[in-house]
Amino acid sequence: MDSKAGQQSETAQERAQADHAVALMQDYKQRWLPLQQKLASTIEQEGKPDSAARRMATGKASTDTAMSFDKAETQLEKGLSNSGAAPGSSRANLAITGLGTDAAASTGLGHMMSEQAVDDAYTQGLGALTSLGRGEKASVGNALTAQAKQSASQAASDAQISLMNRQGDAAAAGQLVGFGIQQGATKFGSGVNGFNVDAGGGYTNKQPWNVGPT
Amino acid sequence: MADGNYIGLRPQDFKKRLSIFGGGDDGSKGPSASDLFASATRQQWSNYVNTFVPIENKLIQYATDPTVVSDAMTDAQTGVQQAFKAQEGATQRKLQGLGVTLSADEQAAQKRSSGLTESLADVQSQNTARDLTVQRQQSILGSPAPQGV
Repeated sequence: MDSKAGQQSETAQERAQADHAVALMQDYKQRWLPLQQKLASTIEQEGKPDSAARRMATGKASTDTAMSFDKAETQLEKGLSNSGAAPGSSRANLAITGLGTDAAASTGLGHMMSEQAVDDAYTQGLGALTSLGRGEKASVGNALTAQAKQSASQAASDAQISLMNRQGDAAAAGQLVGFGIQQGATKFGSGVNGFNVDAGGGYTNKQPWNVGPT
Repeated sequence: MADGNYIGLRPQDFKKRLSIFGGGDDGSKGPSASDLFASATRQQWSNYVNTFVPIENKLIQYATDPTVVSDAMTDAQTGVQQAFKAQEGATQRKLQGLGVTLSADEQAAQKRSSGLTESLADVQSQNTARDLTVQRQQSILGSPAPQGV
């Protein structure tokens, strides 16, 4: 390092390091910064109320529920016929309308869970971006994948439970078929959703967050 | 990368861009190394402030705004109400398709059952929405504070 008139001049190594730092900065600004800004914009859009992501998630939840309850309805009608409950009888009417009521409850809860899943994806996306600012990796996709799996499994589980209940209603007169369903329902008591079938054929939700009247 | 090129940016571009600081391949005297470092650091800070600070602020707002929880509960309630309203029409169409008309007693029983189920679903969805939202807020607040760039 030579000096002139009281000043120290930089070494070739210092100059090379500075050039390298500038090159890195330019590379980052040209290639990565626009991507990160675009990702931020996308995540922000998805988090807004009534965003495309939210509509898609709730739509999927509705479809999952409809498909699951459609299967349950077919099974219920067969079960009603087997148990001697003719279409138009009070027993059959109660079972059909009851299945519809359960479908509505499942749809409503499915919508809520879908909204929550999008909120999860939104906050995780923001968190991942702030982590990117610290040189860490993003992991946005996981939350959306989890939502897709969760929606379908909840709808299927709700439909199965509802079918159990409504078939139980239809079999209240002591039909042999009804007895079999009750036995099956008792075994089903510890389902994946935490629903428990009670002695009357109804179910109670024992999920830990349910602090309201049951 | 196999041919030594970056996607959309070649190594020679880096050198060209050095000219914005006053130096380059032609050997002309540019700013000192410390000036370059200072400039790069300022740019880095500027990127952080303009790109990442607004995102961090959004995250902070989500974690601390109490209306986020009440909004989630309202959304959950609306979702349940809409689902039951839609299902009411679907059930009517189903019964009509079967050629069935509910008697007065059956209608009353159906109304009672539907009302009870809707109330329970309403309570459950609001409770769940509240708990999950509060949990999410707390997990954000519990995360280590961003350390900057």
